[in-house]
Amino acid sequence: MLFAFLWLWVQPVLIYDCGAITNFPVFYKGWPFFFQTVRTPGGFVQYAAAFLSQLFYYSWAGAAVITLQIWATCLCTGYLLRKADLPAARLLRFAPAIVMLVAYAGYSYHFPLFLGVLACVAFASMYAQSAGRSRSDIGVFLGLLTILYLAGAAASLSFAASCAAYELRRRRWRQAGLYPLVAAVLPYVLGVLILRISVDNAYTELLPFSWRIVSLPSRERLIATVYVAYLLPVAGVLAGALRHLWRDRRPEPAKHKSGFLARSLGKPVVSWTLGTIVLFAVGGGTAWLARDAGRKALLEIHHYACRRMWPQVLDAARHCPADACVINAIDRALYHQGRLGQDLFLYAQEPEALVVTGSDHIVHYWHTFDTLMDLGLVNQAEKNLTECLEAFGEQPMILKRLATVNMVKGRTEAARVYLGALRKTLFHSRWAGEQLARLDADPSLSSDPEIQRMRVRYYRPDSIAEFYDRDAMLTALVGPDEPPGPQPASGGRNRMAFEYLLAWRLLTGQLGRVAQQAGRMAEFGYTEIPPLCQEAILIYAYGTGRQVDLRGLSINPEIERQFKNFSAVVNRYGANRAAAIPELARDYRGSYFFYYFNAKVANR
Amino acid sequence: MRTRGVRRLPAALTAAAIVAAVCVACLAVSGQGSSIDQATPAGRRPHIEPNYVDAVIPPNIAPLNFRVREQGDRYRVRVVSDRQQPIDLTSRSSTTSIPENQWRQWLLTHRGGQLQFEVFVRNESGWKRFNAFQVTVANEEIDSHLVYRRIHPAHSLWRDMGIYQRDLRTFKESAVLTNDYTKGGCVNCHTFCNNRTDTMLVSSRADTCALIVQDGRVEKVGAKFGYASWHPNGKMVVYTDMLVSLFLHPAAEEVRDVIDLDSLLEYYDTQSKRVGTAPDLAKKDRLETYPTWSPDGRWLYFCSAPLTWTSRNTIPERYDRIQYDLMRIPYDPNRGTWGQAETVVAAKDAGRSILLPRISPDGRWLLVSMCDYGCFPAYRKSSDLYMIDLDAAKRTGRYETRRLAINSDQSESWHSWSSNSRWIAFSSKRDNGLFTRTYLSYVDTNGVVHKPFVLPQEDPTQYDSCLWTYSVPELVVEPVRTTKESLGRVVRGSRRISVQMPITMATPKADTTPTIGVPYQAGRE
Repeated sequence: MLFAFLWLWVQPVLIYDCGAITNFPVFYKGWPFFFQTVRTPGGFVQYAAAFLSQLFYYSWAGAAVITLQIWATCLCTGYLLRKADLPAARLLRFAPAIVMLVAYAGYSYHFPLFLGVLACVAFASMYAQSAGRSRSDIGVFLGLLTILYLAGAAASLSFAASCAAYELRRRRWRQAGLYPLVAAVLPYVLGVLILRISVDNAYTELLPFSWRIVSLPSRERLIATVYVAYLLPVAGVLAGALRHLWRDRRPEPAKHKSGFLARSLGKPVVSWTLGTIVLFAVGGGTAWLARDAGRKALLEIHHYACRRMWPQVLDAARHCPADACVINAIDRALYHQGRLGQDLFLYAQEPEALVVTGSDHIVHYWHTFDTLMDLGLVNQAEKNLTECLEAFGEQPMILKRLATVNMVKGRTEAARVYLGALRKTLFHSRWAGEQLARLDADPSLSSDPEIQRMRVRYYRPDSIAEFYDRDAMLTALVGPDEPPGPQPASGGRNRMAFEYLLAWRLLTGQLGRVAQQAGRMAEFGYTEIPPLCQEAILIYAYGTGRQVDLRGLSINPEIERQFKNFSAVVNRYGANRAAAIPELARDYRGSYFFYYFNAKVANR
Repeated sequence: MRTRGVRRLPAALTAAAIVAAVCVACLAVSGQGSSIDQATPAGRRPHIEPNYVDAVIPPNIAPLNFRVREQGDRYRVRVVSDRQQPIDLTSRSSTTSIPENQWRQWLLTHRGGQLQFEVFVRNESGWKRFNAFQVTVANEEIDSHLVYRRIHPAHSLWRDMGIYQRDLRTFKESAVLTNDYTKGGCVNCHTFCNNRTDTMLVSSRADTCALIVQDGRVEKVGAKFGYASWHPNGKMVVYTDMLVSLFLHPAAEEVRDVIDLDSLLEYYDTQSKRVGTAPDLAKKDRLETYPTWSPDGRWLYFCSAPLTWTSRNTIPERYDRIQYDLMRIPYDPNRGTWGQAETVVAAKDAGRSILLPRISPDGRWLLVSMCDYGCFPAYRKSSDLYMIDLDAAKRTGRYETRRLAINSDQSESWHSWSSNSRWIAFSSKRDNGLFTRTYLSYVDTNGVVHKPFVLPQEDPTQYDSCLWTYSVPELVVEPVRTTKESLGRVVRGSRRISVQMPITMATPKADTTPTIGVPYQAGRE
């Protein structure tokens, strides 16, 4: 059931695509990456986590990995708690699993830290198993601690705490006192003095309070689950030890004669059944409550937008709170579905979200920069993708985009470097190989129509003022406003830029400039003016009393009739314009009449 | 007896089979299966990467491992010279890895001579012999270590970056200071005194401070040190205090561009622990930057451009007309007094912006970067290296700039000299136009700079997928011995030397951020 929940509901591929997850690891094939990763404490766990995380690329494989991780953690925790004589160990062993489930259902990425937890409980179980059998527990502890420190860095502190607690139970005070001391010293000796890492890293790597996590909101999300996962086994063993010590100090109370209920509960079959029911109830309830549908929808939009699955983007958008990234994806999906000039206002809108320039948010879902690429704003895309590379690491999907950017710019040798890196990844190697072969066959990519199309848009006069100015950048792509317009500066008709420019002006209420563009519709292949523009032109024409030259195109009489009806409703409310909104919303939601009235007029 | 013989038979057969298999494998590996002596000549040199063909190399450089970019299933590289028997390196892969000990021996034997490499490639039509190529081994060694900054081609955000050092005699690279130690903060502007590491400076933006290392002692100075240069006596470091702003191009090949909206030169006296400046180093109507000392410590060379704008918040409209002159100012180290600045080469005469002056330790050559405009040659494709003969200038009174033949059509910048003035290291984007790599070049006594070669790596294919840029390569004669832990501890520590700035800027406006639409934001997630 856990596997099914993870596979079908959580869908680890959504985590793989990163979205706002900035600590998803990079993994490269080959020994250099292996040696580079494992040479620092914690490297083995990091390497294993990086490799296993790549399997999230396939949701089923990712779900299997997470299920195995949770199962192994439960197994080791159970063993440890049983050794600690903790009653109800059978149920309590699932506690770390439940918090891990919360983290995954909430779409936070703490896989390496949970792997650190697993390593701790596994090593603590090994210690508990060998303690008493071996002559030198301290030697075993030291050996395990050293190995664990090298493999899991500061996660070993939790292991040492578990071992100390376990020794408390066995009343071996020397060990109980010595272990925390050794665990405190070892990172300094091994990490700082021998392996030459910083003190911070020596004591916090793979712990939830590492500087790599703290103060970075996207990484701190649900970090409490990691704290709980680390502390629960230790707390369990400690509780077992204290209970043991307490019981030894006080005489065993006389056993009362049990009633029917107690006797029934004491039966293994009943207690097992009840325990299982409780477990399913708690686990299922937690999974249900921990689901973050909003975040899932956000990640789904990112996932679909990256893969240009437009109907799915629009479908997922229905379940998602609107933010800049969502709106950006919706607008792009609408354009590619040929609905931008018609259905723009059926969805929540925010002018700045139409084209996300990266000036305000460096960390963004990188699909927003695909919009820039589609438009021909290659440098803006490059700048933002490079920032993404820093924020998210060398993620294959960012490398792919940067390779494309450089191919468009004719910097094919730089593209080769990105492709070379991509070649070493697990699941994008083939694509990179194909692109490299393509570059070998046609170094300038002159026979690639898509690259040529993008190049036509890219080559235009350079003006630094337009880098973040949406109107200026879109205007530069379509050419100046004044009709009859000359050929666009880009040398080709960039219909997407034209539609985006119209959308931008609609969103910002620049009616006059929308009307001005009406004369250029034919230039961009329109046989009729998009409905939302017709509405804007009507508002402009009636509002200013000016004639608009439509160059042979016309306004749909039905839209004109709607405008009159709309005006009648507004006039009915007189000066109290805001009061008209509910009625207008009922009949005119999705129209530019309503958007303009609501955004620009009602509260004037 | 017979039974024992029968028992031994399978073992004997197995042993024979193993021996045969090993022999076959050896033959296969060594390519003896077909005759290399009958190799057909290809009639041209092989394509190799990195391109070491005709390079002049130091006698103490790490092995020049390379990859043969020719199709084949067996590769053999034969090293030929008049001073030794030919040596063959055979491989199934196109990568040639030269054993370090053998390489060292070759260099020792061929110091001042040439090494000749013959490449043989076997494909389905048999062995093919390519024309031999040579590398010349110079007599003069290069400084043993190179210190550089390693960072992604970032704009205003970084995740992993640091200053690293590479032992040029081997492939060992180690961190001097990474931003792990500064909790993600930027580290840059590493500067050494007289190519030695016992006196050095590292700037950190994590705590806006500079780390001064002298004789193993590390101090944190609470000031932002830009491009810096140590006085040869090691008691003073001159640095740029600038209001730098990054701006971006929507339709140029290089997106990034940099402008100093204001700048001046200051110096830090390591003994009095004070900051000072001189009138000619901090003119209100000029932008002064890139200081560098002459080896005798009597002249400070620097770059200077007119400051024609008043706003410190916006990129001036004519940013692409800003060109820097090369200037110098006399300094009396005994009295600690500055003279009057004079123009060495005017930008209007050169027609280009003159940046990054670096004088060879023997005082003979002055190497500069020149580009079409601006103050940051690494972002200008037009940036090339130019040499000025200072001895000739002394005689004639004219500073002639000579464009070096080693320039490419991409940016060359961040050059530094070896302590013996015979080698330069510089950053170049010649390979791909985006990722900066370090190149090394031999400079002969006539100032001729020979064909550069890329910093060799153990894996010659490393640069094919290397997303790092290697900038500001500084040659030093010894490794940086101050540990990164010590540097990191001081960066993070609260102890710092507070200094009083003599002046704030040409226009003292505190707390204003230069913007062009958006501020230059660094270090945000």
